[in-house]
Amino acid sequence: MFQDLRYAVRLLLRSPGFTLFALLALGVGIGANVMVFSVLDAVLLRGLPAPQAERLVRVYEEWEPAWPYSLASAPNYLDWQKRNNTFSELAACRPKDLTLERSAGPERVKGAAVSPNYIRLLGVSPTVGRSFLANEDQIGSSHVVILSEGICRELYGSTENVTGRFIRLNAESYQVVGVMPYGFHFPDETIQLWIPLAFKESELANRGNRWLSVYGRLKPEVTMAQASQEMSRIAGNLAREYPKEQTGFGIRLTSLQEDMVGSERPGLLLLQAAVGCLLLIASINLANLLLSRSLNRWRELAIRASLGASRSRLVRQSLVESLVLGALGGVVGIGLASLGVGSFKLIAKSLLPRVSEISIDPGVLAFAVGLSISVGVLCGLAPSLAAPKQPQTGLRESLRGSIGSLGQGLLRNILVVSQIGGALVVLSCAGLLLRSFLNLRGSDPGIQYSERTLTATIALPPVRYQDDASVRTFYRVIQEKLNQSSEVKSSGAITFLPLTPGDCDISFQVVGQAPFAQGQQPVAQYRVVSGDYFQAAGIPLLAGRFFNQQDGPDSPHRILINRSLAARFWKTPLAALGNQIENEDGWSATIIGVVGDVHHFGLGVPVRDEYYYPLSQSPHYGVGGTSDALEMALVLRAKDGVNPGTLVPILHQIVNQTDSTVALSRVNVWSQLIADSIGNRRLDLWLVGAFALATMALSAIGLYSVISYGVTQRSREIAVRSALGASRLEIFRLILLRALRLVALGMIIGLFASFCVCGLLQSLLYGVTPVDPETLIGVSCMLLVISLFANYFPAQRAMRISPTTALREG
Amino acid sequence: MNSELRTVNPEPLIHLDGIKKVFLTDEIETHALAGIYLKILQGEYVAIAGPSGCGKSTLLSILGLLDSPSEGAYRLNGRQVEQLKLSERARIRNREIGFIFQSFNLIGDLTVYENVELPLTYRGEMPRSERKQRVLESLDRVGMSHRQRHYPNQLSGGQQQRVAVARALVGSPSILLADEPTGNLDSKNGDAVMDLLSELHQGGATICMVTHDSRFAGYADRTVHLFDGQIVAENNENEGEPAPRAVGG
Repeated sequence: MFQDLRYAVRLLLRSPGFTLFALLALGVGIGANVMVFSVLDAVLLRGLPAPQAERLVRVYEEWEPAWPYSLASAPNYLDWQKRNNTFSELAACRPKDLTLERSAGPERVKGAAVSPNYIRLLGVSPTVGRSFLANEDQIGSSHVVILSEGICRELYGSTENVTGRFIRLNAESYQVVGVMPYGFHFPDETIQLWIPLAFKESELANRGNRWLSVYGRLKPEVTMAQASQEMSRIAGNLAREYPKEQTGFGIRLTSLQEDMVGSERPGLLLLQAAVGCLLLIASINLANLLLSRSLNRWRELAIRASLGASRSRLVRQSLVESLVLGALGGVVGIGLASLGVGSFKLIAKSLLPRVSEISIDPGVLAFAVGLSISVGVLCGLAPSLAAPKQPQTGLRESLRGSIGSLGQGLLRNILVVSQIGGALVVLSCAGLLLRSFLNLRGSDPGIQYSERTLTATIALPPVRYQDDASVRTFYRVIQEKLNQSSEVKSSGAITFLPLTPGDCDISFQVVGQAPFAQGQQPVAQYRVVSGDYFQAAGIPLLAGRFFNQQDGPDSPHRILINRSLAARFWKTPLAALGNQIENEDGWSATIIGVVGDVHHFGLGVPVRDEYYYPLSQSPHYGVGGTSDALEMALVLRAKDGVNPGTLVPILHQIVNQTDSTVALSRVNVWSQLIADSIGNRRLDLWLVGAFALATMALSAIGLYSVISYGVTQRSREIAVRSALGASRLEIFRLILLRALRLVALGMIIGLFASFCVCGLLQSLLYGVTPVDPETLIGVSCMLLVISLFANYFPAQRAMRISPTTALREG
Repeated sequence: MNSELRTVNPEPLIHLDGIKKVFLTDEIETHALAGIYLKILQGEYVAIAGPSGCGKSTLLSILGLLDSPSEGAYRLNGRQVEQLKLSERARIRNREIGFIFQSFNLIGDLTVYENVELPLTYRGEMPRSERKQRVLESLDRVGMSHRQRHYPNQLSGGQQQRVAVARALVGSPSILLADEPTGNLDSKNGDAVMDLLSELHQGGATICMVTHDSRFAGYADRTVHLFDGQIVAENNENEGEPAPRAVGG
């Protein structure tokens, strides 16, 4: 074996060009697979980093079809806690942005208000200090905070001697009681600190206001099905006890891991399939090259055989050679994957859950080793299979009178056809993703001028803005100052900026129409707006009027609705005007205008029914019954010719002048936020696209090498044809047609495979069917052009073969 | 064969006038042919003989328009051909010249029929029915019609060479150029192929054959002896011993 190994290494060193190409192809193939597998492993396969993570579940309220995954109200959460016997812990959490006062000024940080048992439920404990105490969920004793390791170091330089110190959040003082371990950011990677969740009376009284994320840990021996059964029974009881708020509501349990990463599964599996295809094609390339080399070595093998080497011994030698290549390719691949993982973590930080857990760990390394060995064996099989069974065959071959023989290139041709087919499948997937992405990017969000509009999130400290008047005054002053600026065309504000996370919905009845039965009421999104929000955002008015000064706190309640809501109940925008709706809390308002639809939940997500309140009349449905408008997104449209980026200092200055304790966050040009909203799809597209291009390049190289080798092998045949009167053009055409026959066959197989495979992409596509003729024709043409290019040089070389070769070598 | 060319043609079919061929390898000039003066008449059977390395194959390459001379003039069938473009040379090769190689050079992926048909496919304009008729006639002449669907590797060496002869004949060329046609055959098959060439010659074919075997040279009407790139002697079949020839003339 050692002798085989030494010989294999010597052979590789003797052909540095071949070795370099083989290692590069395998390195890229294995590296891409290891990288994507490390992502797949960390995000989908590996259990959550918590003890007995399989027992962790997410608990939703559900009301089909409007709210299949609804948050929970505070009273429901507390009732679930009291009434269940299947969870050892049931904890609640509300992610929220907080204003952290620092010496450099106020700064928005992402935090979470959590029940005291939240950290215990997850099975982790702070590395410094303690977790929350049971009584710290009471108002008055809830001003304590646990910091993430990252923000703790940012604030204090280390994690030592930090407990007992105070920070100011939302203009109130919080005492640091603990620091979480490095990497802990639950429920998402952006969370930097945790404060106790203290329910106010108003929150406990409102069962219809669903705003809590609830998590549970199943008791040992309790299955998900048992827990679901019990929670359904509890939901039924609550519906009977509180029919007004709970009729139609059930409870849905999902494993926490599935809840966190389930939506990423199709994209990641597609990526893994794409890199699998890439590796397959790299392996086929290598197998082809090894096969070509082995055909050149038949004579050598025949001599070895005549000296007594058995067939198995010769096969072993061939396998050792390819295994050495596989192993070296694996080493290169792991190196490339390490670089790739680092870059991927940076790019995907805000786009994927559990990104911080991605690493090349022992499990991933074992995968890499397994992959390298498999590739080595697979690549070695082709030359072993093609080797002559009788030793003398190799010697006889050179003495034959005819040139080439049937089947000699069959295996190589099969490999090339497979490459082309595989490349077409991956290219089709990438093509469909590209078209989907372009469709999404080109789709109308319902907002005009987004590239000329600056947005910023503003959060008012509740302690300083405890009544509606102070909130309304703040925004009025800000907008008055902004409108005085010579660079601002119009400005306004909205709760939950379109295409950014966050929503609020409520059921309602149409006044004057037959009421819907309990549990079957229509549901609509609602948002609070102020100033000239619609003008600034460029949302068109379809009928009626926008809000104005007449819509003051003491005026009759008025709302604007979107086109979808108008169409659902009144067919036309005009017909909707003057009608009234009454929401589930009995708050009624008259429709004074209909505005265009806005894709609030994403460019590819259907528009929902919506209505807008003016800030001057907004009822309190915000968290804890405080004003919804405590956090709003400002929207500033720059005047024509003004770069919206130049509005940033103006905005900071105006906000600072108005209230220096108020922090601005997520300051960005709106078009950038819209682009970010399809960041996941962009990431999928980039990765699949890059792998598809690599696949295509490898296929082209594979095709080139096979045709080139074929030209070398058939140089006598070409010379004979030339001697018989074939012109150079005919020789060129001959070679090209031979290659194109293979390409055509590969493409037919690839198209058929694409029909089968692309259907699996359905959930990742937008505005394009999985069997999109334009895409398939487009990628086929691209592959054809690349194939023609790859064949051009061997065909040209064939043209230059001198016919005298036939006579000289004859 | 091309009968209208053969009937009345006072000019030699092949006329070489001072043909030289110099190969340049590593700045060393090798004079493969050093001034060849040769005429081959219509219907003649000429053997070119000489030891290995004397320039026989180079001469045959130039005769077959596979290579071009460094100097000198070459008239084939009354036409100056030494300076033709590659495409024109290919056209003439296809129509005027039939090659028979030592190692047969049949194409392994093509059947016997397809191998023989190959030169006709390069003519382009010939209808399929005519091609078929000519292929079958040609195979019939060499006694290989019954093997038309076989592949070369299913044939013996002698049979392969007969197919190669059929391929050379199928285009009705003005001349058959044979390069050691018996080199890869046993004596029995070698004799059979030589008999076949004689038969063709008797039927009117012009043949120029390269051989180093004096036994086979005896089949020809005339033998040209080459040495160091020059014709050093010529003899006719009936004249016995070769007559020395002045170099350059």
